[in-house]
Amino acid sequence: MSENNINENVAGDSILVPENPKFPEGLRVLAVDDDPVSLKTLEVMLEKCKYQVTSLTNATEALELLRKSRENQDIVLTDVRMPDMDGFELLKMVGLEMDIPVIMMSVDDSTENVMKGVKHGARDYLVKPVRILELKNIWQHVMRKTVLNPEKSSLMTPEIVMGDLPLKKRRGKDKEQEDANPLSDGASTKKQRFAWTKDLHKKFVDAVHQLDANKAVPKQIVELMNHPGLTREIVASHLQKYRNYLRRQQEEVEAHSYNAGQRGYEVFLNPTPPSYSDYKILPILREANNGNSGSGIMPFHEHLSKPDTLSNSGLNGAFVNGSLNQQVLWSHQNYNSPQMSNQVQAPKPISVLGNAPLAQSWVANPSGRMMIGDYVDMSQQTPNFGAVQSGPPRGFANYAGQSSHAGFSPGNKLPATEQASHPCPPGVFGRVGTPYQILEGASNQINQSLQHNALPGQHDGRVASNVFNGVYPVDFQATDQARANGQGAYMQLLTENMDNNHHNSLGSINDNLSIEGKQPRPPLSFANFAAGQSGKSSFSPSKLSPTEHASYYALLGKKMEESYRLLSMGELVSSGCREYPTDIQAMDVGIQSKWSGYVHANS
Amino acid sequence: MLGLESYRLVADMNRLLALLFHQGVLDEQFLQLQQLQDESSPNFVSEVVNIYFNESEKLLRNLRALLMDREQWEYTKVGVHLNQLIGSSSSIGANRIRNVCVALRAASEQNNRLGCLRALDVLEHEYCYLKNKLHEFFHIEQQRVLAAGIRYPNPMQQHQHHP
Repeated sequence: MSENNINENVAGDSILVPENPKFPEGLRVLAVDDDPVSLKTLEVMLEKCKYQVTSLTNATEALELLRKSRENQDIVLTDVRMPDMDGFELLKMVGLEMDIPVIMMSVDDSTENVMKGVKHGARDYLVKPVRILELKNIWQHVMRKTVLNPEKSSLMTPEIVMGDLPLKKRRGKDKEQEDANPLSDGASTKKQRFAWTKDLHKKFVDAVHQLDANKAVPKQIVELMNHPGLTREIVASHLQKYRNYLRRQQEEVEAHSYNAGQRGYEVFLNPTPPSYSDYKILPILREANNGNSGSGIMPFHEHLSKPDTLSNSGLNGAFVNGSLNQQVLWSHQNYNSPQMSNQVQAPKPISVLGNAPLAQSWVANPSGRMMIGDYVDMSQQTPNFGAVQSGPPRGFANYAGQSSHAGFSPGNKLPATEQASHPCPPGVFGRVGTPYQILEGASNQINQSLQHNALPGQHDGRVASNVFNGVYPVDFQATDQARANGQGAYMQLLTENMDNNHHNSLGSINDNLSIEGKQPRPPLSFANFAAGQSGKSSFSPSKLSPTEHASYYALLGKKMEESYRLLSMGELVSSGCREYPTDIQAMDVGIQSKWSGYVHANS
Repeated sequence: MLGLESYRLVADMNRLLALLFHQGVLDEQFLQLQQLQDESSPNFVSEVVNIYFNESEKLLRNLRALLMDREQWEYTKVGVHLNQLIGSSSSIGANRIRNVCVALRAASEQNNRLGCLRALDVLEHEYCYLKNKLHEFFHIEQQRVLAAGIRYPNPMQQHQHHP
């Protein structure tokens, strides 16, 4: 934060430059990823780029951090799949509330996911493993925002902005904001970005609906809202965003031929996360400092809060009869699960306090599973109302969602959920009190120690047939001796799934895993040596000179390639397998001095 | 001699790495990790790899537990675990493990139990292999650091390297 505030540019400077002279160094990046390995790698890479990194594994923590002080991060990098909150959710929340650029990351590079990211407002979508080169450029997204929206940029001081525009054209917004906000006296502080809190947004939505939303004009909205410091421009941009969301939601709804008559679990069977996540028209319905928000299974929480909000604000009538098409759809979507709405209204709107929504959200999402793209499983899960929920599930602890399972309560943000103080309307789904039937079995199994000896941690890893024969627990049905060794088994797996033209590919029949087709060939580091001398396949490596070694290695590389090719024709190169490891072993044994000489010469 | 010892160790490390690259066990992401290691993050690679092993072991155990369940299989959970494993393996550069995970994911999406089980076995095998090799690698690395330290004797350093 400090870097951006240190220097003041001289007013009247007509170039928009960030005030940090060493930009993009010091860019404040927030990295969110539930996988600690990726997170750590990312962190170090970002530090290498000289950014200032904060890394978190928990998306809700990240939101908290951002909310606490809206200006404390410049850009957010988040993983798509996370246990407690869908990455797209986080994306939207951050985009709406804080207007910070968000970049998504994932192993999955499928078009639909990338499209989803774009639609939800991601500035970029990186495919894991993320390269440091890709990270070196992320500052452009922050800069772009600056260029397009100078008033909204966190990099600019008011002086730069105002220096750019002639006084009489200075937008009303700047003026009013400056007046309203005593801090932005233009001297040394950053421009205060207008904060759309949840209450404010709620007021906004109320105002919009009151105004017959098709004709809602920012000016009137401002008057209705009557909020200090709120200007027409701010409302206008917010309104635009809001309309975009509604439109998008409607498109997605239409795209999935959403039937207005759908009720109940059909909602959940509809595998369209956007239709849920687009409930987040009112995304900021929670208190910012709510310590319990951790277990926010965001989509459902907000989904349920909507009927709440509606009943609170008395807009129900207006809402259903709303003139916006989107509104009608929205209300249908909201009331699609009457059981759900029953339940929502029973516990009173403690949403302000943040407790009830959590429990409600556990209703909708009883297993506390991570919100993966499709909600198909929801209908199969036994909802569990008053029973103990153990807070934000993380990773594999999801299905051991009950806090009674020792060792599975993640330990953060638990208490409030367990006290979910609202009454539990019994029998709404007919199966109260029988939580996690399937899950219990699974989680019990997790607790069992590994009986299977499949992790023979002590084997020395040599890919030789005699080592693995006894170890392999599964009978591979193959009589071929070569198949029985580890290498063989692996190769067999390869052949089973092998496409003729994919060397080393475990491509599946199912085509939507776009990853497999793009498997890089194993990097044959010596493969670009001169084409090896053929016919030298069986000789004693120990007698080679260093240069011959190189070519020997190249030959091995070629053999590797060859064996892959043969594999693709469906033929197990058992002979190839046997030969290759043995050769390496021979190398191991015989040739240290020569080899080290060779390596030394070349390293 | 001490100096040569260090050379030999470096050679061993390089040979081991070359082997792993050749076999496709590791890919260039691992090289990227090595490049990230410098004075400001001196033990980065071994730290990350240790985290990776811890995480993957948990994930593998869970996968095994999930797939050994006689009745209903939780394919979505399997998918979730696999995604994390794929993500971490690709961040490390564990190429073969990642490939097998992808195969396993495909099998689970097709509800192919037998394929899943076999793929799981291969996965565990690959994991063990990688783990052993990387442990060996870091072991040599440690020795090399020690040897390098001894090479330039310095009263302070020698004292530090006292085993």
